[in-house]
Amino acid sequence: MSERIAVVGVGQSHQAKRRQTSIAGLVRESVDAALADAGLGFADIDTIVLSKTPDLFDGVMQPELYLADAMGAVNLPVTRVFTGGSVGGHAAIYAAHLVQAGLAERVLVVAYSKESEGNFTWALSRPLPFHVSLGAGAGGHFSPVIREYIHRSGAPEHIGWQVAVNHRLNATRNPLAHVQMPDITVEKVRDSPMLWDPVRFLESCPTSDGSAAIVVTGEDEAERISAASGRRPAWVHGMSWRTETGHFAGRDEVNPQAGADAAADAYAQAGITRPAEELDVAELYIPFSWYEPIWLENLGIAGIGHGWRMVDDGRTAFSGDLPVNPSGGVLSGNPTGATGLVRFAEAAQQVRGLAAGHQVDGVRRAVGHAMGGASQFHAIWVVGAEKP
Amino acid sequence: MDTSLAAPYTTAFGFERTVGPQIGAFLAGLRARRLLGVRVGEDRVLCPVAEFDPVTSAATGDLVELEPSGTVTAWTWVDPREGWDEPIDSPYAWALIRIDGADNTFFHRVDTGGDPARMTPGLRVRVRWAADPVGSIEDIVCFEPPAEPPVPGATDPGAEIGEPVATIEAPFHVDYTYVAGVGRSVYLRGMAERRFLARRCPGCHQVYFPAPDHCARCLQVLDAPFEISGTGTISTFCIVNLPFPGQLVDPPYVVAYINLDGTGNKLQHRVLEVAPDAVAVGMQVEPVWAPETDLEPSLASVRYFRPVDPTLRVPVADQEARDA
Amino acid sequence: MRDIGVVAFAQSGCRAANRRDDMADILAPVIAEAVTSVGIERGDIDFYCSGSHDFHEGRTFAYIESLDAVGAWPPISESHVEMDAAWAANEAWSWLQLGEGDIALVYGIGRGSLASDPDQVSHTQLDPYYLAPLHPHRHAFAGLQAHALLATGTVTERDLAEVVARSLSAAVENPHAQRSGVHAVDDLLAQPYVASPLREHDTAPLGDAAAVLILAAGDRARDLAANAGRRPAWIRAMDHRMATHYPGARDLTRLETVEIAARRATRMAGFSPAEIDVAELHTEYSYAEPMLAAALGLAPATTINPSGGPLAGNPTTATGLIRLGEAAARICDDTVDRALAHATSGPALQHNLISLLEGERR
Repeated sequence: MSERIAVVGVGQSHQAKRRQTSIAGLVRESVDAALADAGLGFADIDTIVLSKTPDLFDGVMQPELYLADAMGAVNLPVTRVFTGGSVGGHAAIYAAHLVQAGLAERVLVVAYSKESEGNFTWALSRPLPFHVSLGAGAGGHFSPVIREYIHRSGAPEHIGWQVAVNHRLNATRNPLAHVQMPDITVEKVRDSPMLWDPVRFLESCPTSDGSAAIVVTGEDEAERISAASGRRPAWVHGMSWRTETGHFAGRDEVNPQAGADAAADAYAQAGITRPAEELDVAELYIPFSWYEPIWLENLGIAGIGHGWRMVDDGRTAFSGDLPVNPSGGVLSGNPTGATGLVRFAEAAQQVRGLAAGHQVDGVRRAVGHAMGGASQFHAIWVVGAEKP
Repeated sequence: MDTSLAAPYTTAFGFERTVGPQIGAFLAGLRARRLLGVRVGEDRVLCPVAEFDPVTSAATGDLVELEPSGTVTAWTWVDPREGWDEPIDSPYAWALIRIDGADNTFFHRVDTGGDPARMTPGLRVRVRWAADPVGSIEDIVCFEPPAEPPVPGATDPGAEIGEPVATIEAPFHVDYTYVAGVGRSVYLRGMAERRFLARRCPGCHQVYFPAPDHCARCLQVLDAPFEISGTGTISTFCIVNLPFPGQLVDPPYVVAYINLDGTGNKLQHRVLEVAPDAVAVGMQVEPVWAPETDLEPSLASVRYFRPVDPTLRVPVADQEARDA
Repeated sequence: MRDIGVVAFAQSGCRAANRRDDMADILAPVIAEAVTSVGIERGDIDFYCSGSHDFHEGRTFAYIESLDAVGAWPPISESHVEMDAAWAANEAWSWLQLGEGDIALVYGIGRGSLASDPDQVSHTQLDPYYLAPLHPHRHAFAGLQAHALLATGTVTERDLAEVVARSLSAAVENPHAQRSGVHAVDDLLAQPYVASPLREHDTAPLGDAAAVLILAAGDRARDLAANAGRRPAWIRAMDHRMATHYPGARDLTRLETVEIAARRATRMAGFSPAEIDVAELHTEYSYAEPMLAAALGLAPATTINPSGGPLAGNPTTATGLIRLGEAAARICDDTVDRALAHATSGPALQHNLISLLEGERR
């Protein structure tokens, strides 16, 4: 990479089922927090990138227009990216590109969803003429893919339960996480209602109101800001995005090539050849528990068919050698438009040593990952405590 | 046929928005027939109450009460729209109104009784309140020129402003036309004739059902349609256990990705006439068609798929089968 | 800065209502035309970026279907803006500056015909608490802005009619135009208002179309353009700025965002909007032309919207991208040496993007 890129400010709102704020108020919480973290004011920001999932989730079209004041965007360039659930990752990478291209110095990336205003399942399953309504619901797309993974890998069924327990216990360390279940156990997950067999209630993500924001800069700015704030930046060591079409004949959705390609590209930039050993923390887009082993394999962290063994061996739990989603992850809070950026931001906080209660000891390098559509959009970055 | 199927549909939903404290206070004021503004910076007042200063982006400050009257600064004259529930029957203006004591302008309707000539620069107007205010911007029906100059102190003092409004209704309704496209119309029309019409890509030789117009991988237009049997193999599936509104079959039921024999892609459909726990990856299935009278250009013409092996079948409850 | 130029532009005809093609089918032939014109193959393209909006298409995640026209296999490097595709061009131009690849394909697809009543869509773009619930007519904010402009005394209704007459007459030469023809100004002025002081012809006709641009860097751009007998239209600068949203918080007669964007673009390009030959402006309304021309400081001799502009065809989220394509095309074919393209988003010209383009001697 040409110019070195850093994250110098991170802000997140509390995630909840329903926040008693306006959309602007929700967005502003994270914007204020990110700017305060960076020690910057609105006048210091020169460009804004907004991340949000489909506008039918809350019924506001092109929300960047109405949010101009809340984001401090007046007289600034604002771009609203949208690539499904991976959008937060795409927004962060686009911000980094703008700095690398010399077109911006301090970019504010803003992300939010206010799922409580509408209905996510409704928005995703609008009946259209000539289409058949199957009554598959929100999990109807992903749970068959999970079944196929289980079928291929021969993974035992408790893997999904264990991931759910790990992530929910992690969330108890993160006061911003929506779902707080300190007494969760494998038995409770196992006994929770089956929604989309093989996916149980406690193996599924919630829908949440929430927002996130980060400030991205180049090297000189990061050093200046960091010296002033006393908080170290997260340095971007590698970043990539890949897309594949969702409906071609012969597609493999369990191990989508786009995810594998994006990860390989990011690791190559970061000089990582053995990701399982060289990464200290992973924040992955895991909306259903089984996606932990699926992404561990797809992103090259585990061998094909072996991702579940990392779970089974406790390696991805908070005390393991590669904790996955120490923040609690998507299973513990899912403001969809912000979910991808939260993964990227959490990876940054871990290498900055600022993850508070869910800080993993001695993190030098972390990976953040976001996924969207029918597992067809992938964005990933590797961040480090040291300059690349 | 070189034409596409097209049909109307509607997307409608009742969004419900939480509004936060500042907007909530402003709307509570309207509910009490009182107009509030908000202080920003040193000495400016904004009405309606903004959450953030449009100049500095700073959070806005204290609320102030304003007289519900002002001066028109700009307008555009329009006719009420057919099919819309317009609160004014005659032509009216959308206008910017500088509320007395405010530094910005307020966007709303101005009703001059259908007479555009009465719209003049500097026109004095006052609020016409809704009969039954609920805590919404629509509690102001419009602004209108006062019949005679107001007597100081004689204005309606309004009611007590109660708790801030917490939520507002935000109905969404758009009527659309769906255009299936010439390519997809081929297989859809086949469905209405109980035929599975597949198409092969001349580039990668993959066979598609459902078939679009061109291969998403090679970008080549697919070859002429040909009929396939419609039997296939379950590639993977889930069992829907969750009851939710609008289901056509009582849970549990199976929704599967089915790889039709001779094709390379998958279609998603229900698998019935089988105990859900007897369904397996690799199971052979066949289509069960809707009765002649219910056939349509849609995969819905296939009511469901069932195991090819009759020994695996169990009867579907009559009710469910009819509904499906 | 790397030299990044437009080397190909293709669009489908603007249609009031295309009832034959789905999203991918409208797009696929346009992509094929652009790609083949410069003698490349899909595998040569390093980055894709697009712009569209679900609320025009009527389906959640509609943009995913457009990827079927791109052939995103093997996986591609790709991004999407839920805005006018001119902003996708801006993202692609930024991406090419990185030096990680040399060729980018930008596409925009817009369908204004699928929603039966555009007023049902337009209000959803507004402040959800104070503006959207009022369901303003879709031309309401333009009507206000036009009224405010006329009130300054610098522009008259006759001026607006002259903009329309000139645009529609220019569109006669544009095979992609949806609306064109020769009109007497007095006849136009005799038409009724739809949102005073605007008449139907003062508003851009919504419709369906797709547009594709290929951007390339340095010598690769020269080679590709040469394959098509063109020269690259170098994008010397792009800058965009957003104003506050609520119309009562803005001076509607002043386009400060355009002034700022133009100033910054001038610094980047080394020449100003006053020094260009052709401007393609995203004028969804006739009044926007004199406002933009003044804010940009265009010279009186500048040719504005030789394609007919949006008043001749307005395929929603493709409209701004078409401006960039039309401006570039006139440099590519040596008609002019310098051009400006403008795109806008939001009510009453809230968000504006300015591009300055230039050709080099060949």
